Parts: sequence; C-alpha cells; structure tokens
Amino acid sequence: MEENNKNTGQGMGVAALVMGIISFIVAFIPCIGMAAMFTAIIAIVLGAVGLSQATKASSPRGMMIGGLIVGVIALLVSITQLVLVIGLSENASFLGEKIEDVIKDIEHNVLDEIESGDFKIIIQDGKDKIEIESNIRLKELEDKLDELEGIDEDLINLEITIEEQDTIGGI
Amino acid sequence: LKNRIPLAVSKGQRIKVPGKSRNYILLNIIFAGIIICIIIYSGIFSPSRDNYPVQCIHEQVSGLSCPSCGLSHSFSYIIRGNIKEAAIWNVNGLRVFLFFVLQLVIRLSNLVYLKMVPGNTRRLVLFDISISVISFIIAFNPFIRYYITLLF
Repeated sequence: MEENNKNTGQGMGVAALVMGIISFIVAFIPCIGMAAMFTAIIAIVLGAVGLSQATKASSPRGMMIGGLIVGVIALLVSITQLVLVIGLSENASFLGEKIEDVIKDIEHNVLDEIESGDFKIIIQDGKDKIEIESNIRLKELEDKLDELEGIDEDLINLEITIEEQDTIGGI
Repeated sequence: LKNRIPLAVSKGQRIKVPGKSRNYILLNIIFAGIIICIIIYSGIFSPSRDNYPVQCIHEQVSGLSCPSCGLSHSFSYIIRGNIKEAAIWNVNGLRVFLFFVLQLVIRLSNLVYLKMVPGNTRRLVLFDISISVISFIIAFNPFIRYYITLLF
C-alpha cells in the first residue's frame, strides 16, 4: 500500500519530463521550434496532473516539477519564436520594399552624377577628329552633339510620318 | 551507505531497484530509443531522393531560411559518411549530430552502469545533467545565438 502511494504520479512525472526535454531541445531548432509548443503543453498538463496526484499521495514530486519547469521554458521559447518569426516575415516584406527604394535611389544618384559630371567625347573619322570636353549637363551635351551631327529637320518629319503610317496599318 | 547499496551484482541475484532509479532507467531507455529513431530517420530518408517529410516551418512562415535548414540532409550525409557534403547542407549539422551521439552513449552507459551498480543515482543524475546541459549549449550554440539575435 505504501509502495503504491510512493509511486503515485511517477509515470506522469516521467512522461512530463520526457515531453518537456524533447520540447526544450526542439524549441531551439528554428526549423521546427514552433511545433514544440504542442509537446510543451502536453508536458505541462502531464506535469500538473502528476504533481497534484503526488501531492495528494505525499509521494516524490521532483520529476513532475522538473517536467513542468522544462515544459514552461520550452513553451515560452516556442511562442516567442513564433511571434518573432511572424514579425520577421512582416519585416522581410518591408525590408524588400526598402531594398527596392535604396536601389532606385542609387540608380537616380548614379544617373544624376553622370548627367552633371565632366564629359569628354571624341568623334573620329579617319584624320578628322572632334573632341568635346564639357562640364555641362548631359542633356545639353546631347543637344550639342545633335547640332554637330547636323540632324536634318526633314529626317525627323520622315520618322514621324512613318510612325503614323505604322499606327494606321496596325489598326 | 555500504549496507544499502550493493557494489556488484552476481548472476541471478534479484535486486529491488529503488523508485528513483527505476524512473531514471526508464528515462534513459526512452531517450536512447528516441535518438536511435533519429538515426534511423536519417538513414531511411535519402538526400538524393529528397523525400524528407519534415519541412522548415520558419521558411514557410517568414520566407527566409534559418540556421537549421538542411539539418536532415546533413544528418543523412553524416550517416552515409559524407561529412563534406553534410557541412555544405548545414554547417552546424555535425555538432548537433555529435550531441545526439554523445547523448546515446551517455544513455547506454548509464543503463549498463545502473545494471551493474544499482542504488542511489543522485550523483549520476547530477553528472548527467551537467554534461547534457554543457553539450547542449555547445552543440546548439548557433541556434541559441540566432534566437537571441531575433529577441534583441
């Protein structure tokens, strides 16, 4: 009878400790850490039931207390992992947009730098050589280049006519 | 103490194992079984067929890979003796695998020791807890650090 009293809740205690330790180890593995909350809850329930049985029968309670403590720690780690990973996913999408903005900023900065920088354009045709050195903006430089190349007004008109014809043909 | 704990057991002698020792023996058997299951799992599932049933929840939730991604592949390669490939799949694979191997050795040696010298397990349990906690911190250090980084 006394032996039976001594063993009351011990099975629960062993089960609680086993589940608790498994939950604790799993909780720290990021891949499956969130799943540990289920085993941790089982450990806590088993530990609590075992502890109440052992208290009533005045039997040893070390295993149940151990299982409860390890289970609670595992549950906390698991829940915080879940919360943090969800937060990370929100941050990750925000981070993606932020990275996109930074890339666009860099692109703009580079283009601005190119446009406002010093340029030296060399056009060489046999012995003829034209050198354009400028620190003016790229747009102005392009205009100057067009001037030098002597783009014919008629040629531009011709291009527009062709474009118009293409559009009509397409319809 | 000498009267209570027999130092050695002769063949056929029946000894009443105290309750605490019985529970501790049971714990050792269960954990040894679980570790053997992990080893069998790593052996059954092949990295070449990529048929692992456990997916990374972290990656599914956040879309980002974590430090334990590729751990199953790594374990499988270690079982097959391909340490180089195991390290490619997960750098921490070997240290985590060694933790489980060490645990298996401790569980089995505890069982053998308790069969040979049954009695008060207090010292053995304390030694077991110390070794297990230290080895856990060393083996799971990258994961613990990742968790702390996420926290702060």
